[in-house]
Amino acid sequence: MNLPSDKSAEKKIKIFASCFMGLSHLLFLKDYVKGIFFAFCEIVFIGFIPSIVRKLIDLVTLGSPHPELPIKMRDNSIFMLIDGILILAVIAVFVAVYYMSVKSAENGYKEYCRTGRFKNQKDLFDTALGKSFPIFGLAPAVVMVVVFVVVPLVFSVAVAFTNYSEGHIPPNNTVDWVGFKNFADLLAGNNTWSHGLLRVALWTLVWTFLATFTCYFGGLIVAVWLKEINFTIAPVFRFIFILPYAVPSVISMLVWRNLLNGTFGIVNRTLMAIGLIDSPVQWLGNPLMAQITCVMVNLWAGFGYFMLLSLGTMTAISEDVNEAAKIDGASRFQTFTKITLPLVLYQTVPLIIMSFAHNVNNFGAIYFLTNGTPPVADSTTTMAGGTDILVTWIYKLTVNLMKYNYASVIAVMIFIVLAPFMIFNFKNTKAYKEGSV
Amino acid sequence: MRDSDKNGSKNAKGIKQINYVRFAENLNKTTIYLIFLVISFFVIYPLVYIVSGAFTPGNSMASMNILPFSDGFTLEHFVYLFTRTDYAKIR
Repeated sequence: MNLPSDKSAEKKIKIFASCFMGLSHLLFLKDYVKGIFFAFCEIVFIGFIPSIVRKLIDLVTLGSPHPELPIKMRDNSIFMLIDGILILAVIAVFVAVYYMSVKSAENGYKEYCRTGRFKNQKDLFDTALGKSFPIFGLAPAVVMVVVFVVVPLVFSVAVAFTNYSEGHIPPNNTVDWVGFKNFADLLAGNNTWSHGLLRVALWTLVWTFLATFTCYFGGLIVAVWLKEINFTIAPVFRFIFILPYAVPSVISMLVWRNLLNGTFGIVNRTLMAIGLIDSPVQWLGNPLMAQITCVMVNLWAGFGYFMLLSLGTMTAISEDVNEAAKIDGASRFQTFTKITLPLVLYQTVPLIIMSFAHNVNNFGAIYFLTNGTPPVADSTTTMAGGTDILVTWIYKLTVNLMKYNYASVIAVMIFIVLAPFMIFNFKNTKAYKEGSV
Repeated sequence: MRDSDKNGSKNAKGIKQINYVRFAENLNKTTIYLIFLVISFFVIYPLVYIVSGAFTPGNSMASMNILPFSDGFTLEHFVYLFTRTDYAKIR
């Protein structure tokens, strides 16, 4: 077929390319390699349409209950949900390839209008290795990210909109979509669950602030003092202070739990033996005391890291600045508040935000130290104890109570709260600002 | 030090000032050492129990004496770990 080179055939090219992937490449542009590739994609997709449609229907209905069948043959809603989301990802990739094929046909025609000749296959090979190499190079990584990151994330969010909980566990029973019912139960409902969520969320907030700031300022003050003293002894103390960081936190938390035990705990027995207290202190026994203990033990485990961090940033502060301040008659305290603190803060703010996010999800510090105990008023229904933070509650909801839907709602809400901080943090990094990301 | 440079002519007063500054500095350092010793105690305290628990006969930390390493010394837990359980087996 003869192709006018005055751009008058652009519409025709577009229409043919949109009707069937690669059609314009084959018919008009004589770009056979690309055309066959695109056409092959389309044919494979069309070949799979029956099963794709079946999977999509399954995704919408999530299977129907068949109590008369043996368990192995019943519909498994969760597999249907995962399959459906995978199929959606495949469709998204297909749409992207379709869009690229139409664009490619358009650009091919423009190129033809400009040069007046068709691209030969050698040119095509050059583009594949040159201009469009990033597409080929990144395609495997993108597919990996979609399959192993995006699909599981979408799945765990999707669970928040189902009734996947005790009594609705496949393959015995099927799961159904319930819309925003779980959100309404947990957020708006005036019942035990919403009270429990409010209590746990507030404590999570308090915990996050206290855990981060005690560790940060504890480490900072120790670092400042370390710089004050004799530098032959300082490394000894530095070594001692970093020790908790070297012990696996699971081990140290379990040991603390043993030491602080209300009746057999070594701390209580020691204090009683030296006569400081008459009766055992319930370190982990009443909610307020347990919360304070959690923060203190977390300070024990975490201040060493921030001490090293602050020491590192403080060595970066030039000695000249301190000297100048000294000559101008500034006291030690003034030097600290006016020079050291601002410079160290400026350097470590991104790390504080990271530590915030870490402490919101600090599963180990709570779960292994207190296991969420002591129980409070709503614990019999919600299983959330006095020191449970949201993540440990999620763990109990899924493993003990099998309320995957509520757990997923909470996970979604943690994400909504944390994501802005993370984006802000990322946008403030040097790498992002200087455009290398 | 710089105070003594400034008041070079008034030597006696300068020396007094130096003594005062040295005293303050020493006091400062001693306080820091004391605080560090207290912190070190709290930091090492549980770690000592982790280690002593490994060498103490018996099966429970709750029944340990309040003084670490005062219940006797045994390697039976290590022997148990490497011979009776699968942790030491490569396959």
